[in-house]
Amino acid sequence: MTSAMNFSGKKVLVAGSGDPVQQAIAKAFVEAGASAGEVDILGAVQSAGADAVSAKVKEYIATTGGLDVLVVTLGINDMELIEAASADNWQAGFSMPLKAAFFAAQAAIPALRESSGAIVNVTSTLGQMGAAPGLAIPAAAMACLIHHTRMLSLRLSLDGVRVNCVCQGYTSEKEIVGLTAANDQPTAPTMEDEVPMGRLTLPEDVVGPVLFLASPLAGFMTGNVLSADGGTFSGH
Amino acid sequence: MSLQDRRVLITGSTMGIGRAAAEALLKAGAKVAIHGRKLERVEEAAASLGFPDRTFVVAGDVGDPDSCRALVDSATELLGGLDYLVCNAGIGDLSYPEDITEEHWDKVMDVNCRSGYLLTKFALPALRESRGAVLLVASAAGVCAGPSDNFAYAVAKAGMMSLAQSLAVELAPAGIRINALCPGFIDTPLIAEENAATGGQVHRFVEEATLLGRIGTEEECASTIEYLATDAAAYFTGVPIVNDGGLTVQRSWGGRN
Repeated sequence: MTSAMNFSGKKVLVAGSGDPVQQAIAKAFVEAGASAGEVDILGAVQSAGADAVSAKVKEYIATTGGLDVLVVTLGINDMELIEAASADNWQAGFSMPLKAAFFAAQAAIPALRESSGAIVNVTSTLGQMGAAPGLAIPAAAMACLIHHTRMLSLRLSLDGVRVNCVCQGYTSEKEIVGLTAANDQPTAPTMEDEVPMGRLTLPEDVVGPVLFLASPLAGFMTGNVLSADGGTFSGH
Repeated sequence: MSLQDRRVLITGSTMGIGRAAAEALLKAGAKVAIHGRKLERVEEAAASLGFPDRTFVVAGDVGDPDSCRALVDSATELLGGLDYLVCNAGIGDLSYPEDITEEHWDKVMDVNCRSGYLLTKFALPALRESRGAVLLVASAAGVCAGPSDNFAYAVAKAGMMSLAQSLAVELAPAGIRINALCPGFIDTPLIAEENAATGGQVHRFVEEATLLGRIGTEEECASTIEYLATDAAAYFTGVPIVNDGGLTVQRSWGGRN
């Protein structure tokens, strides 16, 4: 059991937008013996598009000489009600982060086929249910990354590459209530209603499921969605 | 059920499911704005439906935000308001994940997902007034993972289903309902073409993979779209309605591929 969670000698790339969960995951892999790097792929795609994401991932693989685990984290960085939203909100909250997640995975496929490696995507419970007002765009991106996980798992199944994802629960109070004041909702949901375990999701809540899915303990799991959400999704 | 004078916009309605839905709604008494990318083709399709007094035409690429706004504004003006928006236009470009280019990705995401958000957004003033309904046409491909060359399409359609959930939350206080329709294999010109090109492979696959053992008809999709426009469907919001003959319920339709 202990040895199965040992990533000694494994090359791990944790890509995302530099949010706390990305750093916590990278740290945990290092503590478990891995040589782990972080790449800010969202920054890359914002400045230069899909090619820049691919280049960053390929550069990491060339430098470390391979890849065993790719983790991609997707965060929520933008909220707007549909009435006020513009195509720019869609670009920032959906197009760019989702595109970065896809092209990071695409660039990693050859190395992961070589190593019979694994991909773990970190998305959100919001992608599995109706999100609060103002969160439709990031929730759609999360739903897309969940389905991307399933689609890619089928594609890579015969190569021994597993693709799974972890859904974080609410990471801020704003995700629970949304922009309700502006939307005349009669009653705003509360933490008590929405999180059976009664608190927000912390980066360390996500780390365990991510390491598990990346490890041989999850060797027959692919296309799976694990929720690290304190029970939120169970009520939806 | 009568839909007398209901004001309806159906995107992508020059052929296939959209055209069949337009025909069903016109027969039920609705006023329908037909839409396609090219005005000429929209005019032809509209004329062929046989209800010139209640048929209107709008054109534009739903992959482009400005066109989304223009076509909704135009339809709303022609119809004198809007009760039912059906976001049906989509594209089915294929590519395996290893081969997807940024251009392919953007096009499929913009047309098959962002359009649902933007068209709904631009229709909101009219829908608030009518306390109307929206139907986002997604796909069985967004329900279960399927063939890999359909990668971007399937991912986009999962996003479309999510939009129906979240926007149902956001728009419920305004009395606006929004749902998703997830058709399986339907006998549209596009599928017929693919079937012919593969020597009948599509139909053979569908007969084997769906519980009902056959491809669905356009009319079977249109009747669901019509039903969701009626007051009988007034208690539906935020849900996917999967119209797939049992494609996704038991057998894997993707498998390892």
